Amino acid sequence: MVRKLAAISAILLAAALIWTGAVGAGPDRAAAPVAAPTSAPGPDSDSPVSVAPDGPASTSISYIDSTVPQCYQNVAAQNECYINWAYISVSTTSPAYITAMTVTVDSRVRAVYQGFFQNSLAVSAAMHGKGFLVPCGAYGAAGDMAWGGSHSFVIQARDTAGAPTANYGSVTCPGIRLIYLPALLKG
Amino acid sequence: MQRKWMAIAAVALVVVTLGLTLRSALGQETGPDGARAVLAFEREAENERAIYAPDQLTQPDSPAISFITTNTAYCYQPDPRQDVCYVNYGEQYVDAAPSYMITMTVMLDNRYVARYAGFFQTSLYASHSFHSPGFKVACGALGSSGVPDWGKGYSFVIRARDSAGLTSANYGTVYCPAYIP
Repeated sequence: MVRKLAAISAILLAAALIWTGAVGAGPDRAAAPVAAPTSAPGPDSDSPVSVAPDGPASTSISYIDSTVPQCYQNVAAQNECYINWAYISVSTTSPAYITAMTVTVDSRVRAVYQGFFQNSLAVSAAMHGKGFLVPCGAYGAAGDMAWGGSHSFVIQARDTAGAPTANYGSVTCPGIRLIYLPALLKG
Repeated sequence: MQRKWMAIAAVALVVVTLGLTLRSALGQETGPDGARAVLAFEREAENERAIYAPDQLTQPDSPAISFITTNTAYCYQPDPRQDVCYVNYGEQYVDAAPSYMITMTVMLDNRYVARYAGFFQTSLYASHSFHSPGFKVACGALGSSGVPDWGKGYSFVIRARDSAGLTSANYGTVYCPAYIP
């Protein structure tokens, strides 16, 4: 009798463990990292260019709106300039969400923005403090003697449907007068 | 004697079995935050958000506290010559009317970096400008998070609690640009 009772209890326990395992499992939080939007060579031009998403039926994501790319020199005569945008925004249509958006300046990724259950993503200038530090460059470095160096930028975004979109352009910075001192030999 | 011990063990097994099934039937599940009832849960890629109730038998049919709106978790590198990045959020918002918001906290890599307190408020809003330029972190080497084009990744947890004891939480990861010397 006791052995029967023990056997029945063991079967009930096993059933309960299977039941709680089926309904009580916590969410599986292991997930592969989101892949970065793939880089693509931009056109060789100073004027900003928006590139439409590629591929058939991949038009859920909008063009990236990147208004007023700017470069300014905070302190005169210092070779430190800051690049920023008035705002950058991109949107996609439900049920897709924006996955990530990146800002690349002179082939270096300088900012990564993650979407969090968002159909649209908007970034303002104030979100980057002073902006992205770049060298101003000497007068004429970009071909215009009134200005300094030019810096290329690429802004890329991707949504959960896999549709990428990208903006390519460049900004020209105020110049500085670089003075090269002659090398003096002790002797 | 042996039969007595077997009988006790059998009764104990029955009691444990009944307890486990009763707990499951009442919906007491273990969410990412431990042993509390999960009232709502959503997942998108690496991002998750959940609403929890206190561990009690009576739970609200519809929770007053909302999901936390976390717009645009981001990481940026102001100076490419330094291994210094800043993590920040466009804005955070949570509502719990008619309950009051008690706190909202931000954790980065299991370390608290911000705490916002409600003061007779049914909603709580935090902007990136509250902690400009952001939370300072190391950018990390290229590929250090496993993503080839980026630097380090930082897990974040944002939790909000209202006066009814309900909790809302967001889980995600923010990736930084790489530091390339």
